[in-house]
Amino acid sequence: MKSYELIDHTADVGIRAFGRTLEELFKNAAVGMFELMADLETVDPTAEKTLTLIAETLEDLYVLWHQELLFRASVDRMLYKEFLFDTLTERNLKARIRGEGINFEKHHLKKEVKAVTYHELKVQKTKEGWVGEVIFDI
Amino acid sequence: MNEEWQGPLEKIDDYRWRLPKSYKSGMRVDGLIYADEKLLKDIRKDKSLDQVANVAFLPGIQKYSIAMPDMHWGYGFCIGGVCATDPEEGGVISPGGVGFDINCGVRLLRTRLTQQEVLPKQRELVAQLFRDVPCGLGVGGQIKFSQADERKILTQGSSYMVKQGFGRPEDILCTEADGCMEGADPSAVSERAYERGKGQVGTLGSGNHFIEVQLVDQVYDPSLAQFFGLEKDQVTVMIHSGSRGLGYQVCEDSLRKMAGCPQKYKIALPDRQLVCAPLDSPEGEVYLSAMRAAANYAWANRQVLTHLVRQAFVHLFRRGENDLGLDLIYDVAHNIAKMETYEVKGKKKKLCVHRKGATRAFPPGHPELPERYRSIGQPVLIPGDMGRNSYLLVGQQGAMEETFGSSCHGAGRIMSRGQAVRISRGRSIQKELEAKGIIAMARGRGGLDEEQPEAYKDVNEVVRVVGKAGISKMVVRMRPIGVIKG
Repeated sequence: MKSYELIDHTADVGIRAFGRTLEELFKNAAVGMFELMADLETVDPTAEKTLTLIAETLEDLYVLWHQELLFRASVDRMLYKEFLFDTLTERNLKARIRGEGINFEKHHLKKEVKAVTYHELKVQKTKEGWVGEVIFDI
Repeated sequence: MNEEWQGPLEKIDDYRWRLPKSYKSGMRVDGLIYADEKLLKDIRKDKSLDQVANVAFLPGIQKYSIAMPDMHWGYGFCIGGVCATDPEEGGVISPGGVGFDINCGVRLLRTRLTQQEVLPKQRELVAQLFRDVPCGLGVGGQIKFSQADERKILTQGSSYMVKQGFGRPEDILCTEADGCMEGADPSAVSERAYERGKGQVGTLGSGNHFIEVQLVDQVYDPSLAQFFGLEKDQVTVMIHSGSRGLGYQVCEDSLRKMAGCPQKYKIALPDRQLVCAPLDSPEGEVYLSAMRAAANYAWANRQVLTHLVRQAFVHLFRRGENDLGLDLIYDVAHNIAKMETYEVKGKKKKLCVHRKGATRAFPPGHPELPERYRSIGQPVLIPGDMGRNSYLLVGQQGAMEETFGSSCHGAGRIMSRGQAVRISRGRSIQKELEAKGIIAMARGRGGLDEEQPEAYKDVNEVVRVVGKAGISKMVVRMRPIGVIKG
């Protein structure tokens, strides 16, 4: 199974992520988003942080997950590449996220992701598992 | 990337098209699209026309849901969209109609330098700007501001920065709204937004943001050009940036806070990104106060960027700032919502004009214009892609009558980022630009590929439409000789 693919959009860009389980979906989506920002092969998972999120629906949780990761990345100047879930239901999650502080010499940086939009947002169960779609403002 | 849009469009004339409200049940008004046949062919290729129809669902919308010739698929609103709502008719404010990058905008500086003086130092100049102006992912501002300073930035905008020594008092007079919207409330801005904005004052960002060194390459209206102190081969500088993480966070917070509003106020919406609240509701008022604060942050940001550009020129040319000129011609916001007065059906109304990728274009005589421009109309700044042109126009009376005082905001993308990267494989966009006499430097990998000229419509065609439609008038055209990007 493919982990994610890009959704073509005229001005911005989206990620269509796949997963056999919700954990895999959330992980692949996060990897997809950080791959827009940097070449993750150049990033080492040296620092860890814990996130706890609660939302009213699965779609809201999916958006909140991306939003929280972007917020942490922006404020802490971090790039994350590993995502481990202690809890993940359709309404809440507790995750450990691992990554590294941005290092201009070491990391191959790409572009800033401004924000997560609700435009054409989807999280659906499929025969193989889950698919999630989200479009970012670039 | 998508199937061609098959909806109905009625030709009004060579530059105007009507999207009838019968297209979708729920549209309150028609759509009005400014484009010629050629541009329309590309416009039909994405989902932007459907987005024009979706915006027509918004309660209190006046006359029509408008799109400019640079329109393309956005999220919620199309980019290039204009929508005016009347608070007395249940009119709403939609954060998506402003966008995440609140008060993203453009400013244009005029130097006293000519082509002959700059070309010998072209590469050095671009390198100097690239060194001195923080840009790209994760790059923080050089000037640190405390949270108390940040609150002042949010209420005072440009003038706070000028007081701190980043600019000249005249800069304020040459900025839309004098670089400060009234009614900004720093307490409406979340802690998270403060945190994101703290280290980013005086940073360019990435994506389509840029600083360009340009040459005036065509003069369309010699007397207006003279008024602006511009002549052929003169060097100008254009800056494109916005409210950075602070603005994105204000928008994100507002979308979440307003999530329950459609249900609460019984508003039917075809897209969740259009979430909105009545202008006179508590949710609407809180958003407007926070949006104005973010708009002021953006003006402060462009003011610091202007200061950094001036310093870079002074450093490289070893001449004083006054000697180099670098005077601000104007600064426009192209992602914003503002209360403005228009005549609708013979009645003067105070409306909330959403401009999502559209530029205000007030005509000569408009009372909100600074004195120096009142006789000629508001300068309208239209950046194109980094390989073609940019324009200085002035607003025209047609804009007041038809487009709620608005014009286009750029070239508009035509190609997705992925497609732009695919067609750039095996090529060096940097070298191609260099062959055209343009030195480009970008921080992020793949940035130049995604932003390459072919990914955009031809700005010359876009500007021709707003000119022919009588909403703006062409003054001069510039071409880039140096570009820095994030």
